Amino acid sequence: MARLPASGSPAVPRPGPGRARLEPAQGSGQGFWALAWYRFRHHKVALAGAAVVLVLVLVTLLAGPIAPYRFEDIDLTARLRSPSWRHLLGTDTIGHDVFTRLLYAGRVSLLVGFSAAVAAASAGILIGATAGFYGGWLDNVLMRITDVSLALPDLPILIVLSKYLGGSVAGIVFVISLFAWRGVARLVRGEVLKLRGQEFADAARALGATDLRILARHLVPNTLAPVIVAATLIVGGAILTEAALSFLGIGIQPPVPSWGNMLQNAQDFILSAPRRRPQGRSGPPAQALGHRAGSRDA
Amino acid sequence: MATNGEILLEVRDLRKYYPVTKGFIFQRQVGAVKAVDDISFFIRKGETLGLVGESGCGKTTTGRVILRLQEPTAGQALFEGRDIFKLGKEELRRLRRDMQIIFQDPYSSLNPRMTVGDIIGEPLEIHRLARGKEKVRRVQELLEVVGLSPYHANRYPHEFSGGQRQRIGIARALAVNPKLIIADEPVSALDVSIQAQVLNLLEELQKEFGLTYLFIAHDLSVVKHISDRIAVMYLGKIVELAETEELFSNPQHPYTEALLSAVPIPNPELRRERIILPGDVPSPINPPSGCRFHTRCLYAQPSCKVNEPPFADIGGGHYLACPVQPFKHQRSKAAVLSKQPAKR
Amino acid sequence: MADPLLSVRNLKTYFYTDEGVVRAVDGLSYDLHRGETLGIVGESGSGKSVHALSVMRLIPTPPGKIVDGQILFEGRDLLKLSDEQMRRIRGNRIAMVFQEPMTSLNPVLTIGEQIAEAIILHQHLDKRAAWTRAAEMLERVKIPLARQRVKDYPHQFSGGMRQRVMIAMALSCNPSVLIADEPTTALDVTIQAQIIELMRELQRDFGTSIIMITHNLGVVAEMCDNVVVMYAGRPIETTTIKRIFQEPKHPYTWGLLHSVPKLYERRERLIPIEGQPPSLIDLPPGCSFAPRCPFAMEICVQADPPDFPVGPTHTAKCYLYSDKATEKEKKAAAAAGLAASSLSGS
Repeated sequence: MARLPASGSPAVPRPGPGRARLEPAQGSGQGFWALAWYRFRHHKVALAGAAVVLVLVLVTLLAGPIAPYRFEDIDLTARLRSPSWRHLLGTDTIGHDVFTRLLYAGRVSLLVGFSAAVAAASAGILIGATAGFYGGWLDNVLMRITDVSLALPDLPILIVLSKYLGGSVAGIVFVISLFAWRGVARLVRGEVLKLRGQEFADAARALGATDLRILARHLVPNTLAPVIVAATLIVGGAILTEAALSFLGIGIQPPVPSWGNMLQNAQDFILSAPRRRPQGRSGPPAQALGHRAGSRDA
Repeated sequence: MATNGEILLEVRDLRKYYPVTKGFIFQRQVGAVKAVDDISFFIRKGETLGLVGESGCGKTTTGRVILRLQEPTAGQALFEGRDIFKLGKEELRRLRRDMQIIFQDPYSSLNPRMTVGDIIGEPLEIHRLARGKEKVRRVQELLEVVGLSPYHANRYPHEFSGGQRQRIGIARALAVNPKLIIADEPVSALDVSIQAQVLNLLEELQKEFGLTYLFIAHDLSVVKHISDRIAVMYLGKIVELAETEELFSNPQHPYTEALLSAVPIPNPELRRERIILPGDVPSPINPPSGCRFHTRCLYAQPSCKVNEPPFADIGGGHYLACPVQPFKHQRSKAAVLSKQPAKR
Repeated sequence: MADPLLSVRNLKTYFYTDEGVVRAVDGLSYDLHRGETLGIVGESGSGKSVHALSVMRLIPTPPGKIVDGQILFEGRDLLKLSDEQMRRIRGNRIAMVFQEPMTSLNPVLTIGEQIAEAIILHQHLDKRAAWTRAAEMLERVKIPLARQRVKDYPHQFSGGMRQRVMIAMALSCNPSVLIADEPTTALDVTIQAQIIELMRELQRDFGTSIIMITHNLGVVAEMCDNVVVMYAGRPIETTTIKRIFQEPKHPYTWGLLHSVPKLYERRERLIPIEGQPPSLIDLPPGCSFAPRCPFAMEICVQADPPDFPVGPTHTAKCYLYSDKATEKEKKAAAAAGLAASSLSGS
């Protein structure tokens, strides 16, 4: 369709010199984020997803006040209990309250997820923007490194690295982001390559802006929308990866709870006593994982 | 126009080739797109030089190379006597206060993430010309100069129409008090009724701030309106350059003549003998030998295929690259027509 | 005069968007006669292109919808036809040429295949005959070595050549109406001159009626017999080509003619039309040009002006030509140079 002319309602006829005052298109100063927010509010699925994430984040952040016990509290007299009013989701092999640990584990998992996303996105932006902006051999080298690392099998390397770096949250975040930056880098490179040819980038250069300024003020901010989408995908992926590593026993180490090591802890019983306490062991962390992974698409 | 004859910018033998490469890893150069091929011209202080030609003739590349948005292949560009192409990074950055550009596309030339105030304020920041309250005041002043309102500073580009965005781009260029502005098709993306607003604004600003323009456009009527002198480009070469009145009343190059006659005139009474050029513009990768226009020229001689015509003054600052000069001593049809006032 | 070939009556095409209803075409009427070239002139957002898609019934629905009006083609209302009946008319009896010669051709089919496709579909020729006709059409539009070039792909043609191919394709079924939507806008001026010349010549040979949609007043002057000037979805002035340039009656038309730089007249200063075109979602009350009109009167912001006859075969939607305007207001407009001769006393 034809481009619609902007402008609201120019008030009075104003014959006169060429520099009549001009009214801008719409009412108020609407920024990019305001607009994004407007669109977001009108997208029901996105809203629902955001609500789930929000609840998860709130609940895990408020684990202290909500949880009935401390996560390291052990009640040796009440091991492997079914859900009850005392232990909402029952207890595990050594008498931890599962509900409490689930909340605290969520804290760890989300921390891992978000930190990994931020770390990976930052690295990806740095590498992708440099490659896209300077082009030539630098681009070639950086992108070939990216390609090669994409071609390597993730899981075996993850496992090996985790063996040495795993255990702590920081170690896990580092290991996971080592594999997550590549997608962002490719994405940012493509966007920067496209934006570099736009006239506002030329305009900035013509104004005497330094490369750093052109990148930081003009190019990177304009790549953020797709990067944010990619980063939210990384959050979900990182949580799952952390869970997988912890499940294998090379991720977050007990007594710090994570959804992964809780699952590992429960796995012995899912087959031996699935009906007896299905909810009590593997159910809650698995469901929490499912929720988190599911809502990442929002 | 206030011209005291002093030359602000002189371009000598400027060339810009783009390599055409083949191969994936070991890229071999197999040819070159000769976007700009050995052009020379100068612009006097306070005048407007129009650079006109069809798409692919190299006019936009010329503008960008002069600003060093792209690096030249060869040649010199003397701005107040200093060769722009020899400047180091820091010197170049400082020179950019003196030379600015206005772009064609009012949509892609403004960063959508920045407010209008930030966009216009950026050059002030870069060159440390103003900060804080002083910057805000200067931005508001610039907005008023281009016919917008100070309160527009807080808005984003997408809230403005094409014509208004072009004004914002002009304000940004003016922020550093430049001496030379390269206007690259500044009105071609605008609606007819808005074009006149922007053209008038550019003229007013020239008077007010003593600006010098290199006005690049494909629309002959627009170029004629705003320029003091006009250079006509064809396939990377300037084929003719003369004072505006002289060029329109006495075009000497066959291409200029055809170009003038091809413009549809909004006057049904004025039916002209039209010169319809045969064929298309050849590819700049392997441009025709000799005179590049000979493949379409109605007056071409056998020698035109071989000898590249020199670009020389044929008198009174009228430069021409055509040895045949089919219109020598003869006023063209366009000239005859221009003498009859259009009937109203 | 004979019955018009195509008669558009009070056409209204609206788009229903999140922001509101866009009145892209809002009450357009005109007649197109056999062999005539009618210019539809307007700036972006004037509704000229949406109107063309409406006539072809190619408006994307939703969000668009033809909400009112008639499009009478040879006496039949196109808006009442079934999709199947419309398919037989589209491309066959009414053909269209678009602005962008680069994107209107399918890059993976040869030129010959694309032209032949339409011929087979509408003319029921076999493949060989259709192919021959395709080559003939390319010759008609003066593509050098046409017989060999039918086997070429679109990317092997330049912009001007592609537009020739588009014209060949449009004319291949010998339509009675050709709608050309800014056919020369994307082309260089020397190529534009070639295409205009070609279209004129083909119209002489084929007798096709042409609706020429453009913003370029020069193209209109060169090609058209009659003109409809559109502003904000409405036809604000309708008349012959001579009258529109000599005696523009609507202040918008008048302003438009004065705001373009002329090639063969010296002007110190252009007289622009002030302000910006209105938003089609939120049209000003009364005449939509009133906020930018130097002659606007009180009535102009209150009521939408109907067509007023301002001469033989000449109407304008402007209250200056009604008894609502006082002698003084008419004189003021005349003093400013607006078609002085017929203002007072009309």
